[in-house]
Amino acid sequence: MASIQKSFQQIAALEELTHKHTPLHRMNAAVKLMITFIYIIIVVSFRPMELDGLLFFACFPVFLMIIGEIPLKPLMLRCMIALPFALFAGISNLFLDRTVYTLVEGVPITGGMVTFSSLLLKTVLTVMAVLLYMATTKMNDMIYALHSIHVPSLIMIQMMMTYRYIGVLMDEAMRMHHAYLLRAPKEKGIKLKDMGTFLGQLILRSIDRAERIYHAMQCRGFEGRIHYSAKKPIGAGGWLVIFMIGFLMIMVRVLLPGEMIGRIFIR
Amino acid sequence: MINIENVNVSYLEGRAALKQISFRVSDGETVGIIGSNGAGKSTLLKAMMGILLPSEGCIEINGIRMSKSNIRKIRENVGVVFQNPEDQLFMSDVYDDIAFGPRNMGMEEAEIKNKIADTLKALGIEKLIHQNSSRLSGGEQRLAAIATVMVMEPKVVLFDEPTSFLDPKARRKLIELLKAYSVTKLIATHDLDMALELCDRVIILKDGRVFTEGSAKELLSDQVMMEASDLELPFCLQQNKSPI
Repeated sequence: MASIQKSFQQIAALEELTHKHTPLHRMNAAVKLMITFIYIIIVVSFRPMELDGLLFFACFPVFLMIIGEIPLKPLMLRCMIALPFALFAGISNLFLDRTVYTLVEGVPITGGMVTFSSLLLKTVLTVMAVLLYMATTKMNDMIYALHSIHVPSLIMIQMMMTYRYIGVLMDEAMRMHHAYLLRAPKEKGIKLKDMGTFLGQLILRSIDRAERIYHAMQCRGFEGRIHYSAKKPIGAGGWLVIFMIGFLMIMVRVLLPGEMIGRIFIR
Repeated sequence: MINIENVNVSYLEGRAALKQISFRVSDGETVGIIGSNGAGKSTLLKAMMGILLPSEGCIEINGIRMSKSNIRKIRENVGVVFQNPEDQLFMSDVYDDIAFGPRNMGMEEAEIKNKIADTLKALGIEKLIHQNSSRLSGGEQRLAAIATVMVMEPKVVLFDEPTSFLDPKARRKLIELLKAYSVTKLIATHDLDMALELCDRVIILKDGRVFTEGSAKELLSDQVMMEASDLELPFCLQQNKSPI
């Protein structure tokens, strides 16, 4: 349960960062979304052996962190959640591909090591890009950004409701946890034998709450569709920024092949 | 005008929640619905909003008779402020929460914007307009929840325990606000001091039935009647003090 509380604090910490007033925070959310999307596509497009090219693209999140005044720690903490998945997916590479790719100070670097590192780096960079977007864009602006690029209303409702009620659900879970511990002061957590009841109660309370919210929505005319205000168009300036940054990224990707970038780093 | 006649409401498992409820409320009146826990106050409000449909009897609000086909019309005329404001604030910021109802009614965005500005000003919470609803204090959440209803300009507003979750200062602010809010109001509450101060009339429910109804001042100060209704005198009358 402590970890639930910790996760909740981490979500809140990321949200706190959206209240800053930097040029990155002020940028149109849809523009940021498009740039993040282009960046992710380009990072994913690198072949497993092009580790050096990927390293060059690590500059992008660093640059955003500087102009957005975003500290590294909260992003890294969140990023850690995704890393185990990449670890499990790529660890077999270390054993399956043992051909020596290069020697660094006489130490052989196998193909498996390079592809494994490439997978980890891709995960970190793409997750970082999304986290940076979240840390510089308020939830409401994110919803409107999705609205402006014609994402179906149903997906937006799901996103918004999930975001809004994660906090409420965690709050409920923490209250129940406190109530439990107050009556079981010698326990460090919830006993396994009580866990079923605990989770059952939590689900019942959640259903109850969901029903009340639905009634509140119905009472204000909800008939299955949430209406948003007019879309906030990206505008000519926004498209220009997307085009310039996108073009720059593609140029770097196409014109600077891995070996060239590797040479730049070696020098 | 609200006209409720011989309304019976049962829960899914068949248990009767409201039995033969009948009363009338005139335009502009403020009526308190009081009763002990489980008396049927919240159920009555749900039935008036069409969340629970009566198995028997008739609910008529502003000349519209409640039925499955015209629930939408009823909801355009009646607003409800739920007991827990967290249930009522589900959008990502206060503006969108308040705009939710008017957008569903098909109002133009420019008109919505003006109405929201006026409503927030009337409630003194202009600064909350772009705040995340989940980050507001209990008092702010309550006012934002009222704003979500006020903006739709309903002719009748139902309040379910409006003073719950509020500290004394926020409670006082809410009472003053409700005094100034001139629509037909039905207030289901355990806060008898507030009922005494705000309501022209009270309806006392007991075991799902109307136990008695009458002038708020007379009924709430009648110790015998209050005890027979499983209630007690308002605090200010017990202590011979002015309303808190």
